[in-house]
Amino acid sequence: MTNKDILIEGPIQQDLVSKIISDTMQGNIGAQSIFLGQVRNDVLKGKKVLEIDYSAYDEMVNTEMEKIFEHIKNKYDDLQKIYVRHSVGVVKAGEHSLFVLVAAGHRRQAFKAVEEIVDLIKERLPVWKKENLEGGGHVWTENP
Amino acid sequence: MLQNFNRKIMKIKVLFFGMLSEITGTGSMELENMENIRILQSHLWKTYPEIKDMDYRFAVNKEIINGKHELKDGDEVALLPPFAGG
Repeated sequence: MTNKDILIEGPIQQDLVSKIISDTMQGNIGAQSIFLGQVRNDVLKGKKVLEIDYSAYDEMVNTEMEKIFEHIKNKYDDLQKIYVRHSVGVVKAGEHSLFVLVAAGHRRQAFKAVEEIVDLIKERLPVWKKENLEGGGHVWTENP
Repeated sequence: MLQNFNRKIMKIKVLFFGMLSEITGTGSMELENMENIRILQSHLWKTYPEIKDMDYRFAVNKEIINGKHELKDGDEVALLPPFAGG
């Protein structure tokens, strides 16, 4: 139901998204809900963010993601598949850094589960971001 | 001499992430005879005074711990600044 290779180097590419959607084309699924997180060109210290350099505690990402999957599977009984991909390394402004897809029998649980998974990822995954600024310099930011 | 041979050195691996890896200039190091988190913390504060004012949690063998925690040989201790995934 879930796939363990969460972290991928660089941005989430459209062909990966398209391949995952193809994987979920099966008869018992009535709804897919997808979240794509994107790098935003915020202004920090008066400079525009060019890109984010993501780093992660790889092994702990896997153990924490397993816990999130367990929690979600126990809470929602209509889910058929869950896919999560998170970037490590450099992702430029405008590119995608997080992909979450939930396939379910019906739409309600697909909507709710995607939102909850994204919130838990932001709260629990040991991932850090260094925002590289236009004209040099960087800022380490954290989730609110 | 013989006693020295018999004495087991207790080693742990310490990992630094995010801004902490920048401050310490390394992603990881091995330390000896850090019997608990308190001892490790005071050693790190002495070596890198800047981290004293920073916000971070400890994980031991990939589980976040709170408060006192005894360490054993081979433990992997990570210093985790606030998360920023997504």
